[in-house]
Amino acid sequence: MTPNPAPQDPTRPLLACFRLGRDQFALPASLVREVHSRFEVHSVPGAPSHIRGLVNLRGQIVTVIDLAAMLELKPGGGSEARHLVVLRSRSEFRGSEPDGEALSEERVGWVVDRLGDVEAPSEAALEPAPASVGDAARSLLAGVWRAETGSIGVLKLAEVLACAEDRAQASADSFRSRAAVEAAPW
Amino acid sequence: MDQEDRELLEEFKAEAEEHLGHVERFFVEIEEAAPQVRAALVADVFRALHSVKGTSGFFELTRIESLAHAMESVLAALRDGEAEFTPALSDLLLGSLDKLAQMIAALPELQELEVDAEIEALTNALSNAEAPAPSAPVAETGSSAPKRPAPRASETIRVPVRLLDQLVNLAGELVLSRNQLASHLSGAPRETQTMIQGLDLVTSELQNSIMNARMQPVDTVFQKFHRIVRDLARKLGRHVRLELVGTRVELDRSILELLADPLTHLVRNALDHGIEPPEERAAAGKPEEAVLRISACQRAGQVEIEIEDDGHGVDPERIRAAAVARGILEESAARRLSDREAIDLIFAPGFSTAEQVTDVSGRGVGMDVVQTNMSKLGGKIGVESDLGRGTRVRIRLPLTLAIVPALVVEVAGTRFTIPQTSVDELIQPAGRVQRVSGQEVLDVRGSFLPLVRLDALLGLAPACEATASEEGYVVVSRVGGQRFGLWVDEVIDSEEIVVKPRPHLLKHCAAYAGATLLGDGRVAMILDVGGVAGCAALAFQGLEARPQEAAPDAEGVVSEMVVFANAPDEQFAMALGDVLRFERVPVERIQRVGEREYLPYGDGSLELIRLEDRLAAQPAAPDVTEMFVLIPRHGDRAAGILASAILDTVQIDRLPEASPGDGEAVLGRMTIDDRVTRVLDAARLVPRATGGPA
Repeated sequence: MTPNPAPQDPTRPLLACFRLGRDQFALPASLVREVHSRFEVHSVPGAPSHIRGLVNLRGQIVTVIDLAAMLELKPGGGSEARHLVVLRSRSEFRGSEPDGEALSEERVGWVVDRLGDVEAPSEAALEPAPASVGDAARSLLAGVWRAETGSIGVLKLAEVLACAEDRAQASADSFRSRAAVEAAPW
Repeated sequence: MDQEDRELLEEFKAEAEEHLGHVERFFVEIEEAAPQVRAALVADVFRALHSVKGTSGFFELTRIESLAHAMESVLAALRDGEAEFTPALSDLLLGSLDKLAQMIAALPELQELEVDAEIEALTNALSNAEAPAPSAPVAETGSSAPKRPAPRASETIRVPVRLLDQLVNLAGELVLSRNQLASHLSGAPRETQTMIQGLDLVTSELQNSIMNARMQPVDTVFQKFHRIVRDLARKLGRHVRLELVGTRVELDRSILELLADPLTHLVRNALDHGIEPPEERAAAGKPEEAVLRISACQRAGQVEIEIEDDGHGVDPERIRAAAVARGILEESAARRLSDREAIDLIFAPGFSTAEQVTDVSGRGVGMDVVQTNMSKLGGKIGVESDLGRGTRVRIRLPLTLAIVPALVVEVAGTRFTIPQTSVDELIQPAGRVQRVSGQEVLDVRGSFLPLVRLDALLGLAPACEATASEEGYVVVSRVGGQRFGLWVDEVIDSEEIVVKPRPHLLKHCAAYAGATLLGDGRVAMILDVGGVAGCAALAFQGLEARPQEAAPDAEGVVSEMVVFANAPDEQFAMALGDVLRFERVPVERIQRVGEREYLPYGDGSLELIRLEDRLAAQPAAPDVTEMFVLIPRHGDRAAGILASAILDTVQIDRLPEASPGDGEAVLGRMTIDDRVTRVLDAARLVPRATGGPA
């Protein structure tokens, strides 16, 4: 189920929209490899809190980022059929999006609550994220696009992946110190 | 530099490295070769360097080009008899070769090394050279060249490793798609089923072939030893002849890459510690020239590498003394060790017998690191020595790291896998857990084993709850010579798992070596026992005050036994330490070839031994559909013992009663669970049955 966008105006990048809880987000469609509705996330004990777990995708392992946690979204909104959005790996990326450079060589993805359309908003329609958006989320957004369905946060993928990396590092440090504390009474 | 240039450079680099690898070996051969052969070799080297020079000129790699050019000029002079080959010249050429290799290794980055000194020295060497007496005529190239396998360029092509890895992944995807298709069409007509079986077969073969494509001959590593041995022998004043055997045996490239350093270490050790100076050898009545033999062979689905020297061997007495002097063992404990056990002490951390530290070896970091590296590769290492006659180090490695046998365990409802190579034994801890210096330990045959509760460590259960229970199993493992136990709830199965690297975002989870997919499609993490021990910050100190426990020995003084049956009313037992693992197999997988029976196993096959053929025993009931194969830990051949049921594992603290009438494969009899049980000697059962020496 690869998104199959309509013929596009080459100057406008296509955005794949999705819903996460009550909020809507989008990312360049050229960065999405595939979307799945049947999948099972296997959690990894001891993993950083922003890693939901691993998915077996036809024999390959996909690391599932908890995007809602990274955006510091409040849990909410009835979760309907959920989907796994799998990003392209760097070697699969053929587009010209600057974020393509940020893609990982490994399979990475996240779970969304509902898939939206693929849209091609004009550059001008993109506004800076309003102050009401938290700092964590704002740093991960390229801007907000006011669509007919409401405002959609456009993700800056390079930032999202870099942030996931930083948090993995930070959690490793805290795990190490926790292990040291727990080991002390032994 | 654009992408295309980069790719071209990468290609040049690979090609040049191949050339230089040959050149290095030729240089070493040149030194030893007869004049006529020498001329042919020089011509070969000249051609290889010439090709490197040509291409580097094309890329405007001026320093590489000019250095290669200077070397080429010297070689041309040698070839044409205008200069004479001397050890000094050879050193100069080898030194230049190193610089060349270094610059090429840095590609596609440009590394501008200072090469003027080399070029000048090479040029001087040329101008100082006097034409030698015409007694060494230039041989015709070709006719007298040493025999080498003819190049088979047309049969091979270069493929990026990335592409191979991708193929492995795709084959995995294909397997899963096939499985889904098969389950979806399970009710389909017979014809469809046959087609799916065809697909099944092709998929498996495809996967095997791709795995094979990752294999490389050990020669890629062995080749380097010509140079290393030569340099070291010269430095240490030894006369050494290097023999390489089995250079075409193949190993997965990922293993080969990691094998080079430990092997180099062993070779250095052999030259520094094993092989005596020529005078000493002559005094001992040995030929002055020592032989260092490195061999590889494939057996029982594994590759065995041996490094053998004819030096003075390892003196167990000296090892004992050194271990006591270095505080590794108490004197009384050292005296109790058998010679074999004493020799194994060289793997203890911090051990060294070298009276003086040289820059070659003897710093006391060494064999323990080699052993740790080997176990990371899933390999085993052992040392045999004949005092005064030589030392043999034997390494066993799996063919590939991509697929390894592993134990599947469950902790708080989550499944994990532990590579079998990390598993020493399995123990039920109930009633034997104590606390020593605040640490939970397991009393195993009189020594304390530190315990790690995986559920608490990985945050799967609150620490207080976890420490209450004594249920479950302890997987005994070894890290750097220290044994410790991993406490798990359940041992599910033993499986061949496909190892997937640890995902990047989980790279800080040191407890895991990677991930794998279980048969049911679940993702399970592969535990890294070293990492687990590190996370738990195990306190080993103070626990080993008691002498190192004795391994369960052949007399079975205290040991863990696996109890099994063949015919329902006959019970047998075998030391668990002798059993590598058991496999459950449907009887239809057992194949008869001639008089023997085999089980297809990995790439090869496992010869099966039926107890009733080896000793007075009843055969298994004819209607069993499934049997167990016990695979012994020792023994050179791929063989397994068939049993119809695994009944139990038990702790035995007494000796079996000798029962000579039962034959040599039976150690004796004892009563286990109120039943007379014959205790089998795995070592005698297997080699005898396969027709080898007992």
